[in-house]
Amino acid sequence: MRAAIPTLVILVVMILAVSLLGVFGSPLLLRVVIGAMINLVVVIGLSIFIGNSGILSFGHASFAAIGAYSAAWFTLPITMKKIFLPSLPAFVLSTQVGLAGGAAIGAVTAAITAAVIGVVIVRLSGIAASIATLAWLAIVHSVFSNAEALTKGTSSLVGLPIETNLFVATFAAILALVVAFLFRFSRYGLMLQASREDEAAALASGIPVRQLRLVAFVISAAVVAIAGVLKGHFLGILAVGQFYLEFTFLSLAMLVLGGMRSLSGAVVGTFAVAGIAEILRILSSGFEIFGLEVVAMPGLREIGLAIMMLLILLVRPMGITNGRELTLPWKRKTANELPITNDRTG
Amino acid sequence: MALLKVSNLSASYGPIPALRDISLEIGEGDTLAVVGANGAGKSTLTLAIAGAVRPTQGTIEIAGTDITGWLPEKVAFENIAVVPEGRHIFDGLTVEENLLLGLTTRKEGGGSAKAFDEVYSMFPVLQERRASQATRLSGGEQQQLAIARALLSKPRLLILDEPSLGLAPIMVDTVYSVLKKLKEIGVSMLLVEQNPARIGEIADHVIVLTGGSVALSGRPEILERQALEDAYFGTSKAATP
Amino acid sequence: MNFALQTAIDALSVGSIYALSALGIGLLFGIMRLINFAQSEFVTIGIYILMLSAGIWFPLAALGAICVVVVLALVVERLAFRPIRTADPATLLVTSFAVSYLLQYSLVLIFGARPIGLDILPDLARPFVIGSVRVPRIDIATIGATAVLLSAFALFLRKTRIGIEMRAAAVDFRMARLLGIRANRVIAVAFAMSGLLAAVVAILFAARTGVAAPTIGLELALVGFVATVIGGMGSLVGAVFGGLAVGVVTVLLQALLPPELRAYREAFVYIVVIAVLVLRPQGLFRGAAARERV
Repeated sequence: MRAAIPTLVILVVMILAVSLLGVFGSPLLLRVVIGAMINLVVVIGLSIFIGNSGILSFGHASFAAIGAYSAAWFTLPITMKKIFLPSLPAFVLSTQVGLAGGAAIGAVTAAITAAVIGVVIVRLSGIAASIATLAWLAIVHSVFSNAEALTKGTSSLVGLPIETNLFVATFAAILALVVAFLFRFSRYGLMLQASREDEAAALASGIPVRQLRLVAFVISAAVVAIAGVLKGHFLGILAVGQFYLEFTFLSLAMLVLGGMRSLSGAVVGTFAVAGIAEILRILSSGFEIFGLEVVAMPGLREIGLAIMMLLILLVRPMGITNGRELTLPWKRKTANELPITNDRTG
Repeated sequence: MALLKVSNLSASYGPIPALRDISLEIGEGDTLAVVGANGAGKSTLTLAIAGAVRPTQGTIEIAGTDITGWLPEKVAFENIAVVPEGRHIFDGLTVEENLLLGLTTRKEGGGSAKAFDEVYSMFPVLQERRASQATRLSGGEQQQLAIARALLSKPRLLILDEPSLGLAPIMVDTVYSVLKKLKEIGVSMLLVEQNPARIGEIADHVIVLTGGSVALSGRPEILERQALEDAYFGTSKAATP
Repeated sequence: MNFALQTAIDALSVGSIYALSALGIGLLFGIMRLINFAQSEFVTIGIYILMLSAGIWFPLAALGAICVVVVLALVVERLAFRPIRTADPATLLVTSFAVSYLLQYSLVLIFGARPIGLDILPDLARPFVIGSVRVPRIDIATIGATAVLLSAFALFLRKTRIGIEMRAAAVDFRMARLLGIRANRVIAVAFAMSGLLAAVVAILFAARTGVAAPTIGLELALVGFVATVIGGMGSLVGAVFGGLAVGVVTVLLQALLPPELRAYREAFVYIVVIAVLVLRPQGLFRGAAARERV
């Protein structure tokens, strides 16, 4: 672990530097930076499971949703709760907690849910496990879209206190990074990574692969749930649709673009996508060039983002960091990870 | 000119080297046996020659044509056929369909019936079971199918990776009697095999791989116990002939 | 009895659309281990083409939609997937995400995000009435078209050389290449066929729902992935039956669930899916010997 500490320092400095952009930038840029920090928590959370176990998860958006809604049940002002969600249990209706309490509730609820469904998912491997997570996402989406009493169904839940500020978001991002870092370089993390390369060999040498996968799944669900809580209390509004396929796609894309086998990849990928998206937002929100007015067009930003992603993948199929950790130049030898070739032997 | 000439070939899986600086030659009609422990790089060598593993260094020439870095399907069109380790029979296809795919690289369309007759006479069991699902065949029959499929392309060079692995002794006899027939009609072979007796029956030359490089090479007689041990444990001064 | 018959026909018809979706996805998955999310937009774009060709003689409009989607699939293969074909499956997946996102928002840019109504083959909306049983014509048309298409497909895969090559490539791509089967050709044909299947799904789905919207193909693609995996990865027959099974389960749940739970039908379908994955990880329609190759 000691050899990797420079990596942690570099990543923390990166996060703080981006955070400073928010401090000194325009109010709009501040919002963008906070949004990027929340995304970073999601992507780091994803990488705790995906990066260590090697199993792609399409299901983590569900934990963001579970975290966000379960926190909102407690953080919504009591008067609003009685209007919007009158059928919540009485003790919930009469309780109100702050953002920190909400985050704790969200993380714990998601962790418990993840522990239950995780038992099923870690029994599977490879693509079957990934498809099971996708099915899980569809289940949560269907339940949340229809459970009017808990979520207001397909309409939005409004009135969440807006308490996620730059400090909170940055703090959460660094916290998530440290958690991910500690897990990754712990004995358990390293054992799990061994199973990623060769499951049979890991099992044969006595590594409890399923249990370790479950641990990673639960921790990563809790981290992603905190991001969901922050998101709700950043926007002040929750809608079930926020936590479905587009959420899944964008967060996975950030992870893979950065390089899904390293923590540095999670950070670099998130900031790269946030940066590109912001530039595209400015460009597509309408501007004037040589006296010609280019009007805003819906969809243009997303198209640009997709094209940029395709280009990055074309040039660096293993991600921007190529699956390696950022480190000081003279330490590069020790902290590198093995890039894995996709050799399809029978 | 040698049929196959491999010079200073290296290959790796990511940063893990699998082959280091391998050079070998197979003359027209010759059979080269490759021996080595698990993980010594035997299969990687066969796959690199066939284009399925990209070398990091070195060249592969077939009858003077440099085929280094070619796609496997292009290498196949140079009349190199592979019977890989584990046979790789297509699940869900019949015996006949599996064989048909062996004809992919044959240019002439009309000769296919005759080609089928030839392999059926060599492997009668395949004709009997031609309409069965190929994966229903026994291990020995599947090995015959894999070899027959490779032969249908009329290869100049046949690469066989442990054709006797996991077969009953009587099946091994069948497989080797076929290989001997092939040798008689002048097919060149690169044969990965562990059994010295079998190698003695058929090979003209032998190389021993350890840790991805050639530890020993020469006539099949070098496989006598002492020389082999020396090569495996690196104690021999005669390791480089 | 009538209810049972109507439900059975409904199940078969929904199952048919799902089976075609799953086959398009299973084909690419088997050959190149690609989970192609953009299959969703192949269908959606097919529907928009039909919308644009309103008023044109239907067979011509259908042919137009098929041609556009097949060409689109080929272009996507050439530009997005061919350059990274040997990359990690995660990279392939995110690439397909990005293509899907690109196409989806291109539709938003051109047509807006709001659903647009369309009315192809209004005659199909009327039911056949046989005795006391009312069978929607669209169901019969869907089942018929699927049967014809799948038979043609089966013939193609069994009787033509390229068909046999594709089946071989789907189970063992590298061995196929070692035999000289050209990867580029097999994959291009697979994309063209998945485009064809997507276009047919578009026609059947559009006739059924009468709506074009940028995200309309999403649910079908989702069902397609799930069906491919529970059917048995790499098995095309498995994909078809997997799709059929998901359709039948969906309709049965709709018919049998108590009304207050009907809204949660999807959740129940996916619970069944997870149960199948756990109980038969190798897929419903494959032997236990067949294992996933990675």
